[in-house]
Amino acid sequence: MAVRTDPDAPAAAERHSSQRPARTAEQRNRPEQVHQPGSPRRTPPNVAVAVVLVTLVLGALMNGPGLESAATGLSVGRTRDAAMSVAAGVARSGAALGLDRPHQWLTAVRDGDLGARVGTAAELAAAQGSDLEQRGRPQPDGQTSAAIDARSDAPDDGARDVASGEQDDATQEPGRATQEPDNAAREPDNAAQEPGNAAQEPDRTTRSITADAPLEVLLAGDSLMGTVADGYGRRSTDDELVDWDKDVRVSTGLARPDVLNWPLHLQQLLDARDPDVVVLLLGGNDDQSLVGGADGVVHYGQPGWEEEYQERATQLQTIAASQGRTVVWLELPAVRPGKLERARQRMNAAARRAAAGTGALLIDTDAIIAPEGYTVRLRGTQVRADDGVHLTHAGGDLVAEVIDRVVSDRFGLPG
Amino acid sequence: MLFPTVRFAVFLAIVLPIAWSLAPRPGRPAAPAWRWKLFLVLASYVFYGAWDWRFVPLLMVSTVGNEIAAMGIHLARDRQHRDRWLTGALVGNLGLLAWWKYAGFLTGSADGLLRLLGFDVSLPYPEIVLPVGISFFTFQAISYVIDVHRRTIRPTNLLDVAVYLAFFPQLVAGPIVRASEFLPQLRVGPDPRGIPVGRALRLIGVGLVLKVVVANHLAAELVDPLFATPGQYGGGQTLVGIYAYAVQIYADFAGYTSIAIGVALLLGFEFPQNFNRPYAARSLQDFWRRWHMTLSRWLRDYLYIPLGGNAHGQRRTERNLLLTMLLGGLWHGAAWTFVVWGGLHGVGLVVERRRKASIEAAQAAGPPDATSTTEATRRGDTRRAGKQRDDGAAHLVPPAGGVRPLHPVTAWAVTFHVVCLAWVFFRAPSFDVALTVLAGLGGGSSTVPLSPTVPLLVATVLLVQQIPDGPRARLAARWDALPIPVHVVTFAAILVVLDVFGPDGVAPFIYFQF
Repeated sequence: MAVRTDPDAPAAAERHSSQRPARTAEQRNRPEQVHQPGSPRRTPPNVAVAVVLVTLVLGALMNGPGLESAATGLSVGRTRDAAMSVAAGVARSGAALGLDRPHQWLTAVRDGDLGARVGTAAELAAAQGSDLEQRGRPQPDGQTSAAIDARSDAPDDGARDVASGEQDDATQEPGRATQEPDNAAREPDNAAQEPGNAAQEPDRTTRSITADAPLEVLLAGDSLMGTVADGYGRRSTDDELVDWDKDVRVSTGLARPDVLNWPLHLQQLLDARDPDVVVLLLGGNDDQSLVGGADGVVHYGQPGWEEEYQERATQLQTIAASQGRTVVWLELPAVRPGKLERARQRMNAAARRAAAGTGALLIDTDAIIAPEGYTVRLRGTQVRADDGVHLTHAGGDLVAEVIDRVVSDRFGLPG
Repeated sequence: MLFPTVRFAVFLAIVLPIAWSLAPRPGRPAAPAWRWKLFLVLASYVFYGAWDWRFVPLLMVSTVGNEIAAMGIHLARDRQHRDRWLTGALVGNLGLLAWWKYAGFLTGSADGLLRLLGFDVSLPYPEIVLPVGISFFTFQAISYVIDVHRRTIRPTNLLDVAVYLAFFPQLVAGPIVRASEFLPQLRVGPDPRGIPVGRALRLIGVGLVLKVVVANHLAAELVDPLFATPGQYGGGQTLVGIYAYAVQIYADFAGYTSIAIGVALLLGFEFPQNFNRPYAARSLQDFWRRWHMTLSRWLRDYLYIPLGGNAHGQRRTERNLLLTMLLGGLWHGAAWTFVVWGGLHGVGLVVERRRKASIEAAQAAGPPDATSTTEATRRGDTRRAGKQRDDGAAHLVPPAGGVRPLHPVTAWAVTFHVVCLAWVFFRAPSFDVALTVLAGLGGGSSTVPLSPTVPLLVATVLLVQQIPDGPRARLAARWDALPIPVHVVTFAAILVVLDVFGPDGVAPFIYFQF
C-alpha cells in the first residue's frame, strides 16, 4: 500500500494516520501539539479563578478613565446608567488608592509623543465652557437661528437648484432631483442670501488655485465616509490642483457628543488644516437617543428628536462653513431595511432643513447608488458591503465622482 | 463579543467561577458533568448571540445535523451506508457554507461572466449576512463526522458535540480544534492538576498587545491608507506598507488565537498551537508549518490526503497541492483575490517541490554537495551540516549543477517576500488595487509622512520571530514560573497600556470574516 505522506504538504506530514504510532489514552486526551513544551506550574482551580478575578479588579482600578469612557459609549438606557455609575465608583476608588497614576503617566507620554486624541469624553469634559457654544450653535436670538426660522417653512424635499447640473434639472420632481448621478447634487434655496456670510467672510471660490496653492478638500465623517473619501483620494491623487485629506471616525455621529464631540472635533480639524471645502457624511450611528441636548437626553422616537438633530446638523454645517468654506453634505444613503433606514429618512430631512439655512450643498447619495431603492449590486457592480450599510470601494467611487464634479464646478476646475 | 472589551472581561469574570464550580473534579462530591457542559454551551451561545442572536439557531442546526450524521455513520450496517451518511453530512456542511458564504460570490461571478460574454442581464443577488465564524465551526463539524467515519473516534452525545462546536474561546476564529483533541478533554473534565494561570495570563496579555497595539496601529497608520489610495505613496512607503500588512495580519490573527488559547486554559482546556514564528520560515513549505497550523493540518488531513496526497505520482501530487491551496484561498474569502493568493502559494509549493526533487536526484547521482556542508560547518552548526537537505531552504536551490545552496538569510528573504507578494492580493479589495500597490513599489518619493513607529513595530516583530524556539521556550517557562503577584500586576499594567495606546473602539479581527 502506498503511503500518502508528503513532506511538501501544507503542514508536517509525519503525523499522517497511516504512520502514526499508537497513542496512549492520556496522549489522546490532549492535543498533538500543546502550546508550550514542558509542564508549567499549575494552580489549584479555586485559587486560579480568584487570581483571575483579582487581576481583573486590579486592572479595572488602574483603568478608571478607560472604564468610564467605555460605559459612556453604551447605548442610552438603564444599562448605560448602571455602567456609568459603577465605572465612576471604580475610577474614584482607583484614584483614592493612587492606582490610576500609571494611566495618567502613560497618557501624558502618549499625548506628548504621539499626539492627543481629540474629542474623547475626557476632553469633552475639559472643553466644557469653551467658546464652542458661542461659535456654532444657533442662539435663541442670534442670526443663525433667525436664518433657520426664515427657512423652516421650506419643504423638506422641495425643488432645489442643481449645483452641477443643467438648469432644466432644477425643475425636476421634488425629492430626488433625478435618478442620475449627474443630478445628485443640490443647493438649497436662498443659499446665496445667507445673511452675513458673504459680506464678512472671504470668498474662497474666486481665489486662484494653482499647483502651489491647491484646493484643500477635507472629507470627514463616520465609517460610511471611509470608502467615499478613499475614492475621492484615488481620483485626486494625480491632480496637482487638489490636495485632499480625510478624517474618519468610526462609530461616531451627532447623537453622541459624549463619545465624540463632532462640532469640537471639526473645529479643531479646521483650525489645523484650513480646508477650502468640507465634505461631511454622518448619521450611520445616529439611530438612537440624542445625548447632551438642552434637556439632557432626547430619546429616539420621542417628539423633538428630529428638531434636535436638525439643530446639531445646523451647528456642524455652520462651523464647517466658517471663513467662506464650501460645505458639501452627503445625505445618508438608503440602507438595508431596518431601524437605521427608518431613522435615515428623518435624519436626511433634518439635514436638508439645516442646509437650507447654512448654504451647504447637498448630494443625494440615493440618486447615485440606490436610484430605485436600496440595492447591493448596481449595473453589475457590488456597491454595498455585506453589512447592508457601508459602501464598497466601487460604491465609494461612484459617490466620489459626484463630489469631484460638484467641487470642480464650484471652483471652476477642469473636470 | 470581542475579546479586547470590557464586556468580554465581565463575561469571563462571570463564566469562569461558575464553570469551575460545576466542573467535575477528583476529590469532590460527584456532580453531574452534564451541568458543566450545558453551562459551557449556554455561555457560548450567549457569546455568539452577542453579535446576532439569529445565528444561534444556525449553530444549533449544524450541531444536531452533524450528530445525526455521526450516529448514522456509526450505526450503519455496512461500508456503503456509512459512505452515504458521510456524503450527506459533507453535502449538508458544505451546502451550508456555500449558501451563507459563497452565494453572493458565485452569483456575482456568473453575472460578471455573462456581461463579459455580452449578455446584459442582472442576476438576482442573494443578500445574505455572513454568520461570524461559520467557516470555523463548519470545518470542525466536518472533522467530527470524518473522524467518526474513519473510526478515529466514536460518536459522542449531543451535548458534547454542542460544546465542541460552540466552545466560545475558539468559536469565531479558531484555532480549528479536532474532535479527537477536544472531546476526550470534555469527557475526562478539566485537568485535575489545576490551571497554569501564569501561562494563561501571558498568552492573553501577549495576544491583546498584538491585536490592540500592534495590529491596530499598523492598520491605522499605514496599511489601510495604503490599500485605500495606493497612488499617493512612494516606493519605499509602499514596501514598508506591504511589510506592515504582513505583520498586521500576523499580529491580528496570532493575537486572537493566543487569547483564545489562554482563555481555554483558564477553563481547563488545552488547544493546539496555531502559530510558530511564521516569518522565520525559509521556504513556503516551512511557512505553512508555522502559519495557521490548525488550518494547514485540516487541509492536509481532510483535503490533500483524500485527494490522493503524493501517492500517485508527480503530476497528481502537484495537482493536489494546487487544488488544496486554491481551495484554502477560497476558504479565506469569497473573492477571486483570495483564490490568487492561494494560487500563488500553491505554485510556490510546486516549484519548491520540483527543485527539491532535482537537487535530491543530482545529489544521489553525484558526490555530496561539499559546499553546503562546508559552509554549515564553517558556521559551527554541525547539526545543520548533517541535515542540510532537510532544511526548508534546500527547496530553493536551483537544480543546475554546481549552484550553491542559498544562504539561510537569502532563503528567508526570498520566502518572506513571496509571502508578502501574496499578501498584497489577500489584502487588496480588487485586482486593480493590488496591481496599483505593486506598481507603487517602483514609485518615487512621497509627501505623505510615515510614522516612525510603523517601521519600528514591523522590525521588532520580525526580529523577535527570528529568536529560536529553544530560548523562547526557556524564557516563557521562566516567566510562567514567576510568583503569581507578578503575573497579576503585569497583566493589569498591560490593560493600562492597551487603554492608553489602543484605538478608540476596537476594530474587528480580520479572521472573523473567514
